[in-house]
Amino acid sequence: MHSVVCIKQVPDSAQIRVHPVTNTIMRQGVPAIINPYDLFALEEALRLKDRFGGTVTVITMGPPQAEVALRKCLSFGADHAILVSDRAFAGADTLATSFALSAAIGKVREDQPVDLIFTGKQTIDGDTAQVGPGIAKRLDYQLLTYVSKIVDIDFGKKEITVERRAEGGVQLLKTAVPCLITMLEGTNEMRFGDMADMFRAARYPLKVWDRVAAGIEDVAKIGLKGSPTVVGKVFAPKPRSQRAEMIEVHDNDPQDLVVTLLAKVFTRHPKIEAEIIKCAS
Amino acid sequence: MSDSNDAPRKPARKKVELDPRFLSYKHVWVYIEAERGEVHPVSWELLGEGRKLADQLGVDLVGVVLGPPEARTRAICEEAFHFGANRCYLVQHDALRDYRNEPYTKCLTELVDTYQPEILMLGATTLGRDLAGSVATTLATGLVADCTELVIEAESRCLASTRPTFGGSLLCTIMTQRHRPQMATVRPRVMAMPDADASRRGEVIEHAFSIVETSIITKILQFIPDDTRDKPNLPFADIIVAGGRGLKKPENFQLVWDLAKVLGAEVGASRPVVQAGWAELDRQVGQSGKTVRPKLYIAAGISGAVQHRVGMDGADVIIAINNDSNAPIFDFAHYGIVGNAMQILPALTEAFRKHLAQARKAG
Amino acid sequence: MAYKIVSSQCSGCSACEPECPNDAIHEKNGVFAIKADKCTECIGFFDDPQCVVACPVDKTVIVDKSVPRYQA
Repeated sequence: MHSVVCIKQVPDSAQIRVHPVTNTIMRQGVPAIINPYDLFALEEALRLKDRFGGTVTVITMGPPQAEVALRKCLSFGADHAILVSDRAFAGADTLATSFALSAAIGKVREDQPVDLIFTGKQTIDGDTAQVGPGIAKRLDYQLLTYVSKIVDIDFGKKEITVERRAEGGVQLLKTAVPCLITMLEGTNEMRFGDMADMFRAARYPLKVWDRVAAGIEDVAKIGLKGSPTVVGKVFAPKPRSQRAEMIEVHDNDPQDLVVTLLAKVFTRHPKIEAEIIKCAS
Repeated sequence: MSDSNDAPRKPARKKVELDPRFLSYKHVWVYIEAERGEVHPVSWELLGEGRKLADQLGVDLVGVVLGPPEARTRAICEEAFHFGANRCYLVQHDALRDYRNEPYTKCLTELVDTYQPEILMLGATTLGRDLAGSVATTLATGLVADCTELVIEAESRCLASTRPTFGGSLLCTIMTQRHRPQMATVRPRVMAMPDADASRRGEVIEHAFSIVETSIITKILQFIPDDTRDKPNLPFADIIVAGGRGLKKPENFQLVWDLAKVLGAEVGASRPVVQAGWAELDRQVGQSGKTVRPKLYIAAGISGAVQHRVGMDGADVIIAINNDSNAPIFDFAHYGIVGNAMQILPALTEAFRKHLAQARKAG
Repeated sequence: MAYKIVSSQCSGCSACEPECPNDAIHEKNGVFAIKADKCTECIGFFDDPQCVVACPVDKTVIVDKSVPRYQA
């Protein structure tokens, strides 16, 4: 069984610092991490490899520094890694990205058929959750999003059964292999790589593909030219006009603090009091 | 040759023209998400938002309803008129009974190619995200997800979609200038719920959709509804009491439950405590959790990092309790108490209980 | 004087890079930057600085006042 896992290296948004004076984000020195949602996809692929055998290939589209993320995946146990990197991809939105990744996976498929493609639910920096569906559409794979559990795979009949998170419930679905799966967060936990994998990861001869190697001729489909969306403005959210009204009492006794607080809230927001009485009954 | 030291003229930016293929694309569409005959409220919120955009553009607001051939499916169109839609495209087919990506994508793209909207909005639910991603790719058009603000840019008549980026520390406005439809998804509870006017009527246009069930590969074997008894419904809760790392130990999270019980409130949590297993994933409030819009939000031991803020700063009244006076949450809360949450929470529970007892006696 | 790109607002879309007649624009950790000493404000080439015209993001390519005006 051959699984391809798409990952993305993203800035760690928890570490982003906004410059106190200019209110602009300080992009330098923000550590890059593997998109957290993608780790659930990688772990699921590795578990299937443990269960059914086969290989796991990780692929990413990004700048040369994205190599670090790929080597991390190798250290977890992925077998192969491909970095798709080219100046022509600069400025790509999710549509152009899904085009480039589909072409690259199409190339991978030529030397080894791909049974399953995994992507994370979304990225923390882009969040459009569009790359997974985009790749499935272009490679004509069945699409299963928000998968919480892979129940069974029947390689004979080329069928897969999964549980998928839907609104208000879980769908038990059966579809054909090959298919593309986006994994719901929290469904598994990333394993620790063992020493052998870590050494192998450090020495692995990474495949780096440019546009041509990834089988992309039509330059109008990638990068800025292939992107219907364009960022028109970037700005810091305007902080609320004034700070919270701080409740202070002389000796800060919890009882007095709370009584003062409730008095202020109930007098200024009578609707809140009515709401609480309604909810509490 | 160069003039002295005044700044050079502000050059106008290159004007991006709409691709002529899309000149005929008109009207604002909202996909009305319904499963098992029940409409997801985010669809009504989007009709409220869509009404504003349609009025700014001087065009119609159109609802799109897909579902099985039953009276309930048609009745949803009537409800859409109550929330402001002028027209509804209705597609009834057995293959559309339960949501599956393939038939729904094929149907929605067929409707778009046939009736050509300039804007298409969907709720950012598991269904909406799945469908929007596939439809946008099939149409090769632009999609902006989790928008927090939608405005029509006057001179270009383009949809300016604003959304958080870098975890919410920045906002960016994204446009689809050359392609149509301009697609956008919005999370539940981000836009206000409009008032329904039952006197409003509209035109239902039925569209015949031809697809053969045997051609659809994915089959639904079973649907296991959530046991909603104890399932938290944070997005639609009116009062929320949320706890964060400032509570120090999982046992102290019980203090949050005690207060919530007295108030009849839902219990929320910040991401760190959900990851530490103090509370379930469905209780996580924030950018990677739920977006909430309660009337009262009490935050205990939550620092108020931007990833949390984007999920709850729509609350009417925010009370923050934290032992660090310069915790970011005090920059956007309405009322703040600097103190030990493990003492303040029980005191608050007691005070509310007393107040409610008097109110009931008096009421 | 020259033009500069506000790095926190640059989306890295590379629209400006091919437009610069002096090849003064290059990529730097995911965003683009202008080499001030190579920037001639497009004087002698175009009426308007091409990077400002090409940049889709508002107020992102701005005048770098810290550098003296370009003298032909």
